[in-house]
Amino acid sequence: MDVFIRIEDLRFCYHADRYVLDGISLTVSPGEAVGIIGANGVGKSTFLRILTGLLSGYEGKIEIAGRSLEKRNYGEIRRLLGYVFQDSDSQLFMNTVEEDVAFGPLSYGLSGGEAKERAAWALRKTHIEALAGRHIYRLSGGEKKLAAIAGILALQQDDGVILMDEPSASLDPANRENLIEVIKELRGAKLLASHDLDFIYDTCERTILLSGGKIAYDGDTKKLLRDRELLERNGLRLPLSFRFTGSVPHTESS
Amino acid sequence: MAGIGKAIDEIHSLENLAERGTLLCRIHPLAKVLVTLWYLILVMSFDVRDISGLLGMAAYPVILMISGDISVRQALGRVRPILLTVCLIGAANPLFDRAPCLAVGSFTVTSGMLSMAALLLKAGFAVSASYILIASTTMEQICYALRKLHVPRVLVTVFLLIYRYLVLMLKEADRITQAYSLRSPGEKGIRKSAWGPLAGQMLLRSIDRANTVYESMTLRGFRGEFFLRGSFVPLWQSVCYGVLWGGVLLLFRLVPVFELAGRVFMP
Repeated sequence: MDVFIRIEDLRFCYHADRYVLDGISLTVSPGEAVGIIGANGVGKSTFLRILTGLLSGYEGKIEIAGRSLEKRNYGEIRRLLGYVFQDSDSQLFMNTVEEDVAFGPLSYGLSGGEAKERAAWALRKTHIEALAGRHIYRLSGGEKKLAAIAGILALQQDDGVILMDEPSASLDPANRENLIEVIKELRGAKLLASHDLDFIYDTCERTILLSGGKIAYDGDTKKLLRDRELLERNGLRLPLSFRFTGSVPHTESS
Repeated sequence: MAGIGKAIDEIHSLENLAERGTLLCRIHPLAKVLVTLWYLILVMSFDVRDISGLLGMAAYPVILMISGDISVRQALGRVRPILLTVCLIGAANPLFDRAPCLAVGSFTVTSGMLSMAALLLKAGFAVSASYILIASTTMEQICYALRKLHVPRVLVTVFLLIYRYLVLMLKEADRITQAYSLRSPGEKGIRKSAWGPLAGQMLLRSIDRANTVYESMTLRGFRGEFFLRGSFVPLWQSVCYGVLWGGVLLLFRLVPVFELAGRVFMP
């Protein structure tokens, strides 16, 4: 499968007089990491929530893993498409980390043993095996974020796409770096909506800039992050690291 | 305001209690739920003046609290508000029902006093049994057992969600009251004029967070079914637990143990 997500002429409005998304067309390949950036209220979160099926009533065509995004396909699609909410605190609802991570596989009919195996695998992938028995309410912000990602991985096992809404929000530098490492190691496709351009630079090779409900740029992340004028015109600023060096800094990802 | 934090801690500590590896925690939840229901039915079936018969039913909470390593002091502290409410309700009985029943020396025990004592015992036993169930069984396990008993899915889901939302609501209340107290130094509590906006904000934010929890559940395939997690004793042991307690409790219901013991010692 060359295309994992296919979107054609997507339009969506909360109120009849204004389209938040107005004619979005794009494709995402398996394993691709795509950043979605834009000013506040430009529709980044709306875009992700439409893909999960949490927001319905859109116009246009969306296909995920060859299946049309419709209610009858939600079960299949949601097994392959995970969503990490901005507020991981509300996303985790079981008592312990292991129970929460195993929730998805159990809901999809896997046996207790299989769900436990999947949970252990996902916890390893996110480097939080040691937190398996820890109570959710005792986790730090960074740990909650990783536990939320593990919950999705346990379900899709690197075969799907993971959507993240402001993944780096409220994380300290160490947790942020850890999250970047985890995201880089994931083999599935990733769609990351964020204001944090440094984070996008570290995790995504392709970036989509949303502006006025349309795609203002879709292409190479480095090229976009060099374009100060385009960024500023769309309410964004050059990443901190770029401002000091004046060019794309040399990191492992570059 | 510290009370909200305490309430959240209480809920979490009950969850911790239910997840310990004691034998009682490892009994199949269906057996525990059935025994608890059976116990409640039997306790409620006693006559309003049958104190001696009711006292025999104390065996169930006493034995389980000891074997399940559940602190009686903590349990009493947690069920105190309910018992106080029952006390208030029962306090009217001695006033309205003054028919003499028996005399202890010069003191006449009225029918109202007996019925009040019976009411208190029934309430105490019922609340203790429910507490023991919660302290040894997680909410998901209770929901699983209820589904196995064919309680409608929608009811069990609502039951679980109320439990989850309760914690979220308490957390929101805690955040809002903390934010308020930080900007109103020297004030004790919340002034009346701020109650309306605060309560409204709390409700809106709780609904928002509750919505996120529900969305997160549905995105991970939740369709109202519950699954048994954790390690349990072999099934036959859980069956034995249910059958044994079922029999013993029925025996205590039919045979007035305390009355018989009294006859043995004071023929």
